Amino acid sequence: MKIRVELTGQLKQAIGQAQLEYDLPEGSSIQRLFERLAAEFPEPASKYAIGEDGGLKPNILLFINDEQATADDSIVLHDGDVAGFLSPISGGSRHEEGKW
Amino acid sequence: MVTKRAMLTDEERSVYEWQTWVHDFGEAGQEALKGASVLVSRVGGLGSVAAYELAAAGVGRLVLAHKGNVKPSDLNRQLLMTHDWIGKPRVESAARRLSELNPRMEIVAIEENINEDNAERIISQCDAIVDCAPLFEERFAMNREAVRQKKPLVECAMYDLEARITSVMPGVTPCVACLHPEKPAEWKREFPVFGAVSGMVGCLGAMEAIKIIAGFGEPLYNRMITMDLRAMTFRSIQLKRNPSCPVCS
Ligand SMILES: [Zn+2]
Repeated sequence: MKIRVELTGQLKQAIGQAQLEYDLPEGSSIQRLFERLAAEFPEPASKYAIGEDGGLKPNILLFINDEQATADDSIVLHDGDVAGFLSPISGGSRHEEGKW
Repeated sequence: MVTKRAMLTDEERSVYEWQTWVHDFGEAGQEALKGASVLVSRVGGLGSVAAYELAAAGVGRLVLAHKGNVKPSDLNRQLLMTHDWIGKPRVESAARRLSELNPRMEIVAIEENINEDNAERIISQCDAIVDCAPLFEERFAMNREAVRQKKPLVECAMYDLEARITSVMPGVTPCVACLHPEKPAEWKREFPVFGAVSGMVGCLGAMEAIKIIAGFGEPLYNRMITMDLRAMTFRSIQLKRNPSCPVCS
């Protein structure tokens, strides 16, 4: 089955792609997707998304088909699902520290 | 509606005429805006535009919190900063330009960024908050205090050509800590962005605050809009509270 992955923020920038597509066996859990991501992109994945235990880092907001999902929900993926990884992003302007 | 209403003068009726034609806003909505005090935390790329739109819309009182002086590298996006103000306090430049647009509005310019020590004092002066802060420490301090004081908080964020927005209503929606329980280890305070991206989400943040204050439309409660202007894709994601959130549960 085909699963589309959408990346954002620093994770997207580190991997260099906004979207990925994976072919996973029917009935795969979300954990299988994390494993694939970590295997294909070990450095950016470990830096921004996947923890040492192989699970999703707590700061990544996961969504499946436009609904927030908890990574430990034992989510089973379905053909055509879109899994999004929202890396935290922020705002505005930096601290004042320089000569200005 | 989160504020008390303030009577309009004839001059205000004429200035805000076009928006009081919005049928579910009307003069009552305008009176609510006039009675409201809104905190815009940091008037950088996001906050400059959010504050400018709130001033244009006729909010009665704006509280601006932002430390530091204008730098050349601010000027691609911080639209309340001007070239002639380089080296002088940002918050003064912001207050000056906002009062040119809306001389009726009261402006409280605080030359501080929100932190654990000042959050209670600053947030107690406002009815709603537009969070435009760059650092997660600031966001967490603001969130904690907004939840404690039960004040609505509009969360705006951007990165590169991406932007996000959601509105936090304490007790009703997830708070910032529900969504991001920890400070991201890898976040840098300087990052790529265009002014048109931060300005867009600043506008959305102002509109959210206006809707929440005046009590009309559907604020982004339990919902986040994500935008990618590189691909021009927009998503609306359903959010959920963390039942074991240390801040709001
Ligand atoms: Zn929470």
